[in-house]
Amino acid sequence: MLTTNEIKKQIQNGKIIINNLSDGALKKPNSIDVSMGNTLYVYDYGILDSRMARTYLDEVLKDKPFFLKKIQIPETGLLLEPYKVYLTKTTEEIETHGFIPVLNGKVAMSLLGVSIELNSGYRWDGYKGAMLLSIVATKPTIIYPDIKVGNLTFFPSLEPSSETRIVNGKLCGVYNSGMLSGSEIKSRMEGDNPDIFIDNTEKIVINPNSVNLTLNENIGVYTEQVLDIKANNPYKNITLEEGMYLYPEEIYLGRTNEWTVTNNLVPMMSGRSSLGRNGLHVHCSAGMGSVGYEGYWHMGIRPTKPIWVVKDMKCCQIYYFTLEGEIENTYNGIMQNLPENELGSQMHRILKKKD
Amino acid sequence: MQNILLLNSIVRIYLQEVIITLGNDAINEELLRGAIYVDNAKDKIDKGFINVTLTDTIKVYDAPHLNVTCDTPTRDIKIPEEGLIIMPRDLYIGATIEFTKTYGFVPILNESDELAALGLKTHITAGFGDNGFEGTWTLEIEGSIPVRIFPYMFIGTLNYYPLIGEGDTLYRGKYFKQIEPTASRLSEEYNKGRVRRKC
Repeated sequence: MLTTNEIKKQIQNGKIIINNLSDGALKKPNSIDVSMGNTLYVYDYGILDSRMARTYLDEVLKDKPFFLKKIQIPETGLLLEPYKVYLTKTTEEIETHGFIPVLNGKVAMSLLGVSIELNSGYRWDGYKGAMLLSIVATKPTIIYPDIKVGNLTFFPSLEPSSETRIVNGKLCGVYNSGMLSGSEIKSRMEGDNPDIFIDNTEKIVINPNSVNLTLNENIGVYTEQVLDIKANNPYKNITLEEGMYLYPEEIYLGRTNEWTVTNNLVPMMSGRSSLGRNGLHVHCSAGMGSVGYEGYWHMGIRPTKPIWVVKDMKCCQIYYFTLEGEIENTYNGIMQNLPENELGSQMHRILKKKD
Repeated sequence: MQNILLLNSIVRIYLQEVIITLGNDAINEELLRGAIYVDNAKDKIDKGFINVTLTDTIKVYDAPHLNVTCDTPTRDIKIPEEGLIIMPRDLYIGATIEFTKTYGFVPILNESDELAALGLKTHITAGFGDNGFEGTWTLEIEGSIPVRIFPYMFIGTLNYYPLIGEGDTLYRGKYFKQIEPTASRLSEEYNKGRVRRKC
């Protein structure tokens, strides 16, 4: 993944073009902030035909609604209802030459149960234009216009490598950038100044290319029926003793037992295949971390169907991307070093800063 | 002697041509090398991704509640040609037609923005794969609003990150070599002897 310093270099080279960049969008260490405007597109009627998907997408990207209905988000806020999808596009328009843009949501929105993309953040080298935002809320949530909703990252588009190695009897190319293998993760956890620190090291389960983390017994549940992204939405703490049921239409605030520190790499949280097959989401479009992040991993957990979960279960996996470019700054944002009892979304603090 | 030299030149030119027409992409190179395998990959490569398609069978859980410690029974549904309506509040487990094998790379399943425009999710925060995984990809389909899906529809793309470091730990887990849509086998972790338990 490119550091922001490298992104700026490539902007100067003309290999990455970004129009309508907002103030302060280049402050994060390995991503740029992207925003949405004050327009949403919604479906007017019942059953959608998946064969029309391309048509609907074009209506949004070209601002030519026909089947979709265009609505404005007033300054006073718009209520997002669950079991609906609200479409729009990023204010920013991009163009890349030699780089793969990937859009992710923000943790602050994930902890409010709002997804801004549906596993659909990857674009291709040569992508041109604004990017689709597919907004889905878990609980009724009030949203406002012109807010920063996502993190845009870039990966180099790799040319075939000439160097090769053998893995399990297969010939594989050797490259300088990518994702760490389990052995590499283990070796980066060693020494006095490790790149990867996870407390409770002895019990950590290392997979072929990721690390499993477990669910802490403190779970937060918002007490209000309607969430407001500008408010410090109150939540109550539940202690997960033996087990409990999680219900759809609720967003559960959880965190990992493990405290982590990541240097020189970008950590990324993902759910587990076994949990995904049970319909359990561990985040709402926001697994991506930042280089230098120190803290627990905060999860916006929601189930598709009611599900019984148990304490200390392996709930997520952390993957590590290599960084390309100079590291100018490391993460020092609102999620850094949150106290262990702080589970809520920090969106209200981010929006206050803007005002 | 001259005949052999001529033959050599012809063979070299021919090979160069094959590699060039298949493209200079790294994906093509790794497919040729054998690190990456996807059924019929040649026809599915597009902009650095490999397109995958949905089979015609879907599984749904046959109970109102799920449980991480035991396997909920499932029911098979065949997606008819005229399509199947995916309803919100339910989870549909599908599979890709394509059997894949990945060594020395980390495969990732992505959704396209087209499908996202329908409010449709094709996996539940679990699109990251493993070095050494062999099998079809399981799709966990969830809709926010009713959507009609079709058998053999385009359902996502695969892209690959090079594996950095020793690749000796390979995926040999619960879903290794899966072909059919496979429901969760999580109960293996909660029962002695890694035996699965039905709810």
